[in-house]
Amino acid sequence: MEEEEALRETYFAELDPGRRKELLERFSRDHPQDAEVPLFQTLWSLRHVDPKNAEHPVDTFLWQIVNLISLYRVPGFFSGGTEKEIRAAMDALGFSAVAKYGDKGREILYLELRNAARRYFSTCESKSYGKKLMGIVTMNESERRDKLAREVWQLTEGLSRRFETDEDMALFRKAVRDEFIVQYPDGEERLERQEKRRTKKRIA
Amino acid sequence: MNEKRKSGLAANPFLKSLGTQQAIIVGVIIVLFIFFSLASVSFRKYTTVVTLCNYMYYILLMAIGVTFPLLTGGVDLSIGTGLICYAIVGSYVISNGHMPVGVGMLVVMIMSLIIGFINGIIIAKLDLPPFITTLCTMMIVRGLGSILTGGLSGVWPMAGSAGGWCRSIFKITVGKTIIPIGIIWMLILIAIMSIILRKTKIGRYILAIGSNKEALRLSGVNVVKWQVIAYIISGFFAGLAAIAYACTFSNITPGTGAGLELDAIGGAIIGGTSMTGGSGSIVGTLLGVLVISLLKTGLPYIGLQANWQQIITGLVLLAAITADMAKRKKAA
Repeated sequence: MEEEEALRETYFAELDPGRRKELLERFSRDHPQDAEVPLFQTLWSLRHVDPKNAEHPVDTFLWQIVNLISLYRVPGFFSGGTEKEIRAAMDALGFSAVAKYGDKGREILYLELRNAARRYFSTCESKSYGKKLMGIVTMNESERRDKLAREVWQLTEGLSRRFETDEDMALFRKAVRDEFIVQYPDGEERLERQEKRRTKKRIA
Repeated sequence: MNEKRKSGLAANPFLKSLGTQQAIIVGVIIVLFIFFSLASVSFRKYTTVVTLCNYMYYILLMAIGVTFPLLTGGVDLSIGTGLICYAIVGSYVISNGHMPVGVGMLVVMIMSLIIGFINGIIIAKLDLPPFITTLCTMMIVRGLGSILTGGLSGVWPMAGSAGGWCRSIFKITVGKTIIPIGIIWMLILIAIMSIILRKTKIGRYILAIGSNKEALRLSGVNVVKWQVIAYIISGFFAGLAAIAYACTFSNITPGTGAGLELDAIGGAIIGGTSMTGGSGSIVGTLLGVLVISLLKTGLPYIGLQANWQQIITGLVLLAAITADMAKRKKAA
């Protein structure tokens, strides 16, 4: 039981899809009767299997995070239909796929979403993420964190408020926020700063 | 009273759909227009609209194109000298090669696409900084136009001569009135490019590159391909701008064009395209270009000549960049 728990934890802590696949195969082999196995496999396929080309490595959850950030920035002229796109993104993030598994499904999806959020945060350490002024200037660490906090705020608060998709996004929002706060000690403070700034803007 | 006014403004669907920054630009355009109209009687004439359009066509076309590299977090500095180079080569093909105007236009478009492709490949594949890369191609195309044509100025066929139909693409004369029909083409292009940017895979991926290139790569998207496409789009619109320039102005001087790209980049930035990449709009670019074109057209009417125009355009651009940086800092 302890070994099973450890394997599960390692699976959700691991960011490399190849290594995760190995862990999933091991888990399925060692615990074939475990009720969670088909759920893990469903989410794995949804996230990492390209339906058009099985050989092509993809991470649809990561793409949906990037996509949702872009959706928040859609100007008013083109915002019609964005709610529908957000719901489609939630579907692609596994919400429909886990529905039949009930609470267990939501629990596993939450862990998978946190894993995807952590993978997204890891990309923010890349050279390209920290470029500004047409790629000429590099951001300092604080600016980089602020950029990420802004994106996390857009994902967790901005989108649902702008497009009134609170309920549809609840689990996703919680997963991203929780992961951000766990990963960055000043995460909560930075999110609060974002919130204050937005509230001030609304009052003004 | 104030609150009432504010809520009234916020409730205005047009201003709401534009967003704060773009609503401010609309205000600036109105103020500039009123200012120039009051300062000069001549500015209020219909011919001013025609002159404004003449300036706007090529700047707007370049600006629509350069919005795409800007959205990826890069830039394309080669569009200004490129425009002159393509237009001159086109005129050379028409006059010296005795080819139809259509062939000249085709050569212009092929050249612009090739330069866009080269920029894209160097930036995306070799991972060189866009600023430096396009600065180099800017110098290359500047010299290339002169070399290919032997340093001769270019002229595209005039209205009434063989091939003069090209002069009617952007303006037609009905009776004694010139009608700037180019506006229609511009609006169609703006609508098409806005849809491409917001509703297609091309736009989504280009915006995503500017937002987080590494995340996009790990998602399984071919980042190199989409980044190259952004520069090809920029090149394509520089080609269209070259045709607009050649069909609007009578003389094209080789070795010029440096600085034209700043009007286009400035227009895009004033219109709200982020210099960090990942956000911006084609409608915003249109509004920014209107500001630049209004300044270019209006300043001579109040007695400020070329050098002053450059100073004021530079200051406006500086203000836009400062505002963009301040906005980002404040957002953080």
